[in-house]
Amino acid sequence: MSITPEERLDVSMTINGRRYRATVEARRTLADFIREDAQLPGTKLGCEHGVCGACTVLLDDLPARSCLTLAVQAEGRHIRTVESLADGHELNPLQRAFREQHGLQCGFCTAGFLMTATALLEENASPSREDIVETVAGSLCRCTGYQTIVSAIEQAVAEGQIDTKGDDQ
Amino acid sequence: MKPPKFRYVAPRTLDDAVAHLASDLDAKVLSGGQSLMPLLAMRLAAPSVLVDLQHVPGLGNIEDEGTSLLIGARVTHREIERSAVIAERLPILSSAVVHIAHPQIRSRGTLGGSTAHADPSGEWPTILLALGATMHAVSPRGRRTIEADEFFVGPFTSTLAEDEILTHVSVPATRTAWSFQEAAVKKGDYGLALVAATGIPRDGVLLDPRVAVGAAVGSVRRLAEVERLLAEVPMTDVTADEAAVAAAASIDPISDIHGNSEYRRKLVASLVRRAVRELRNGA
Amino acid sequence: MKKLDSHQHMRTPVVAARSVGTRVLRSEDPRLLTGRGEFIADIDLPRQLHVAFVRSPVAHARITNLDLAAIRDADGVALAWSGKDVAPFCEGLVGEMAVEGCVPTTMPLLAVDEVLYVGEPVAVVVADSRYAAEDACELIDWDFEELPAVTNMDAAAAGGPVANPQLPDNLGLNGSASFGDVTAAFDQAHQVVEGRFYTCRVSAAPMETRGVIADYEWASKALRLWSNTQMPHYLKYMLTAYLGFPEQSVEVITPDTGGGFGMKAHVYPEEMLLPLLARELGRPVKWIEDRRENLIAGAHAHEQYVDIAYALDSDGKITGVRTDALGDGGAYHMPPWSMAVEPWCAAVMTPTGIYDVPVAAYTYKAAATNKTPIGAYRGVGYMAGTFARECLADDAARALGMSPFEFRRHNVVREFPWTNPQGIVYQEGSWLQTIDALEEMVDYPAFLRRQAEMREQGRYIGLGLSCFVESSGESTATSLEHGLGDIYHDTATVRLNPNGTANVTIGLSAQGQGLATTMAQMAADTLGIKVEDVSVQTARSTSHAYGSGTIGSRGAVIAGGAVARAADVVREKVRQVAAHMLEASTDDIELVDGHASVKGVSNSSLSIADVATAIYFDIDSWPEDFEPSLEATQAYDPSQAMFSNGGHAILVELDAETGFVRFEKVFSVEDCGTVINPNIVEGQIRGGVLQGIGASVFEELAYDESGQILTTTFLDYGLPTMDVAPPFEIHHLETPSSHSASGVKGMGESGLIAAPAAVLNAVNDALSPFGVVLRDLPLTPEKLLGAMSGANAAPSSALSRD
Repeated sequence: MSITPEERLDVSMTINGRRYRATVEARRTLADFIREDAQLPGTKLGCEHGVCGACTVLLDDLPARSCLTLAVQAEGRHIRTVESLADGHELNPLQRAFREQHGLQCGFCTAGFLMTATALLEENASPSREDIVETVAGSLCRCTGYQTIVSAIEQAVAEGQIDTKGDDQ
Repeated sequence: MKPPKFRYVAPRTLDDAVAHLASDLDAKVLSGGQSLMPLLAMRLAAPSVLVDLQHVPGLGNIEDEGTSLLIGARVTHREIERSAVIAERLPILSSAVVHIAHPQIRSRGTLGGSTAHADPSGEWPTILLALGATMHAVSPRGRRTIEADEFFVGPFTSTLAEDEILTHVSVPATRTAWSFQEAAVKKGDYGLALVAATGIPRDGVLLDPRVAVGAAVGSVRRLAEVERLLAEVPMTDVTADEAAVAAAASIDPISDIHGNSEYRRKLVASLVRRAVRELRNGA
Repeated sequence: MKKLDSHQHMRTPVVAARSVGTRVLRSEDPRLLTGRGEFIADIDLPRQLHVAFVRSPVAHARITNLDLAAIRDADGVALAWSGKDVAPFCEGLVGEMAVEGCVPTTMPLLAVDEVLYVGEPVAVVVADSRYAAEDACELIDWDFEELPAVTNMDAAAAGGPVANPQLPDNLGLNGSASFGDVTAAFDQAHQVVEGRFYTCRVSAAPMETRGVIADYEWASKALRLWSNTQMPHYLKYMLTAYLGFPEQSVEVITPDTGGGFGMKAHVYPEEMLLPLLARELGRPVKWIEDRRENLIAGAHAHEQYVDIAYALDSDGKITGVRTDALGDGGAYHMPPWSMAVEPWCAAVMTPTGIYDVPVAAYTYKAAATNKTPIGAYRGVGYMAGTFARECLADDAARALGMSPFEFRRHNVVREFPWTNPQGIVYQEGSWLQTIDALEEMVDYPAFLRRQAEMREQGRYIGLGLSCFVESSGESTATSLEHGLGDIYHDTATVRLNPNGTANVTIGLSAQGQGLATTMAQMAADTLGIKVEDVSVQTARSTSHAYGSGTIGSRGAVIAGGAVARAADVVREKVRQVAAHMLEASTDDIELVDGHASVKGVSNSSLSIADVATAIYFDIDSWPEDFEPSLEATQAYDPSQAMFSNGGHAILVELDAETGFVRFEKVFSVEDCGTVINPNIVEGQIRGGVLQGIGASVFEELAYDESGQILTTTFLDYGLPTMDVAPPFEIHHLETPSSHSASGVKGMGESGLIAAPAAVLNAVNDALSPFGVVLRDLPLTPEKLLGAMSGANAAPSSALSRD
């Protein structure tokens, strides 16, 4: 065998464009690595068994539940968390849409929805209603009743289209 | 809910992966982790070593072999969802894959992981049984194939040996009459009942019908009585109701907080009725 | 019935609305949207250690052996305690409610000789990390002698094996009252309709679990406790009362909180243990509850039976109501609400609902069982009470051949003020208008046509109605008028800065309902400045302001009243100095949009900023005998009980093959008096109704006969997701309160209070061709399919079609 199984390993990954390195237990979840080792607490833990979606991050541009991923599995990968969304000190259009549509109340689930919506819009700037439902149905919210979250995403889609048209001119 | 301690290794070749798995009785394969990680978080599993397959080459392709597709064990549900060749050659997989959990799970979960996990509520075991798929596995003793009929033998129990790694699934693409039915309360929930039915339509008759049921039963299984009905008569004469009754009578459904056995029996009957109608209409 | 004496802090100033009533975007949002919210799990103290609990795996047993040696020896473990280690510090938490027939219980912080419910904490472990603490917990060495598990509340209440030895007859609560001649009403009734309704056990399941951090500094005897509690001041008081920490040196800090819904409005053993651990270890200790703990050991809710009967006269008028509520209270009274929070609230609060019923009788009982203690969850027992009343109303409508709208219109209170049989005065309300508004919103005749057409096709839709009156703005008066003696009071501090901006501190903590924004609106309007110029601190620390808890739909009313009163003191100072500077009379000074101007005189104005600066720095601007502080703290408590009202109409379709319910639409009418921020009110309705839908169809905390809880993860306890969440049409009515600041009445619980009745009524309406009426929640697919495939199913050609 070329490598031996280890209980503690060095891991290195890029989060929001910055490299983070640590020696961690093999069992350490990516969520805990992001929150504690990288000190980016915006990603939340709501269930730690992959259902609530609060811990959703982008792993190589795809939405992933960071509580169901080991930190060591993310070796060499690119992670994006909610902290990467704002444009300097300005909310990005998606975040602004959430605010304007009252798509958050306690805010605990919000990072998960933002990341999963970001993945959707990066893949498809004009998602159908069905696409949006498919995306939003994968995360839990106890406060809003969801419709304002959908409205927020729809507003971001509409504004995105306007921007695109502007670029073409 | 933190996982218990274990050692981790991410080998770069299949031979190394096999060797690591074989070296420790309590070693387990880590593929997408979407089924294994919750078990670890709840401390329902305590493997000694996790052998991560992510760097093993050759397990992530979808190859067209003519009458079948060879799908690597590391192909993710998301890749299946977006695969043009699967949409064209095996649309039953495209139809079913969107029932699996949610996009955030599908981006990581793999066909091989789900299949080896053999969850009776999982979509793949039921569908692979209905398609008559062949599993390809490798161990220190070499390679072998296992037919779907011999692969799923109980709840969360397959006939993969402890030191065996599922590498590919070969799925026949000739079964062009198909139907997949799932009854789930909410999108992405585990189904309360799953039915997959396939056959080869030829001159108004359905050759070699295969009908499988999952979720409502303790172990995925075929519905031989329904298959007999479908094979005996030309498709236009088969009554979906008869098939539904036959299905209901032949199963021993499970009972739990999500549905008792009587309810699941009715569900299976309804899903079989729908599946047979769809098979007929498609022929 | 006792009436509250009038006091100064019950009167609020008149405030002209500028920002109040508008959809101000929330000031909380930018930090929450960028991952900069600071929730309890995000807070780390230097040298902190991590806590995990060993919890009982059995429902009822004597502990015959408990050995922590292996745990104490494990890697990274600093300390482990059992119940015997803790008992010298604290015998336990007393839970009771000061109502007739309530027998108190003492809940140990860690079980000592007996465990009484699965999940009860038995040992606590402190280690370097949560991972290490959980590893150590697995090394627990224990033995149990199992005892009979009491899991059925009817059986428990009737006697038999004892769930909790402190309650030898298994009753934690047993009381009754009668107002008027109820016996006569029923004896003389033309018709009686009655039924037994069941609301199942559910969890508030906020997305953020509970969490506590404690840090004790021995040299200054200062205890700092972080908790995402809804009751920080009450918790602070408990730390002194139970544990002896000096009250002046205790601080409870509430971080950003990810939902509370009542679950976080208790005092938990975990909150009391962590300070003891911090003191013992001389290091900060941190406990973040995981989801399994939250579902198992976080307070459970809503489980009760309500037997209810209406006496009806020949005209279809309700002449009397009898309510018998029996709650499954779990193993202990959970402080501070106790088991009474369900059956007492179901029976005693608004016993006649929106109906003009002259006499009422009720009984309330809580049975002790070997299950997790019951606590508060949005709407508490008002939900079961409204459920029983509104579902029986539909039963009555069916019996009388009236539509649900007609029956309610026929019986609704039409004139205010109205005094109910208990002598409680309902000052104002739009109870009739709600019914009319809903009937119009749903277009009832069109619905009936569509329902008939769809039945022909073998499809079953139903419409269910639920109209409610809700006790809101929970206060001393609310308590007194209902026979309790709790004193509530809350303060707010308002300070005007030299540049004309303001800082506000309130005594209430927030869990997502936007209090920082709504209170900024109240302060801005009172002071006459822009809402963006007001910065609000909700109860981040008990060192500032005082509060009686964010519960009972009281946040906006109470904090709003205190803010208005405090801002008014500051406003008066500004007016006095502005008057002096403008050479006018104080009475003629108006503060609007950042300016102080003289009424009726154009061009005579100053910016409020200039006035404020003058007050701080220019003695010549002051009138005689002037005190220049621009900071005021005032208390507020409404002088009377307060009630909001509204209704929901829910449209469903049943799948005849699967028994699944599809929620097509929700129509909601809400009257919470003056609306401070419509976005926030609508958000509360949407969230609350979806929780009501969850509690009716998708959610149930299930136990088996041995008392083992079966729903321990989100895979088994299924919260509603977006795909099953319906669209809403919301209509606001505004009947301002006659006695609160700006007429605000409070809301927030109505969705969960009233929606379940609308859901059951809708399902029963859809089931009417099958001749089945259901009464028990949850409405599982199993139950619905059973109802639709029963022997008395109406034959439909669609079903046998092939």
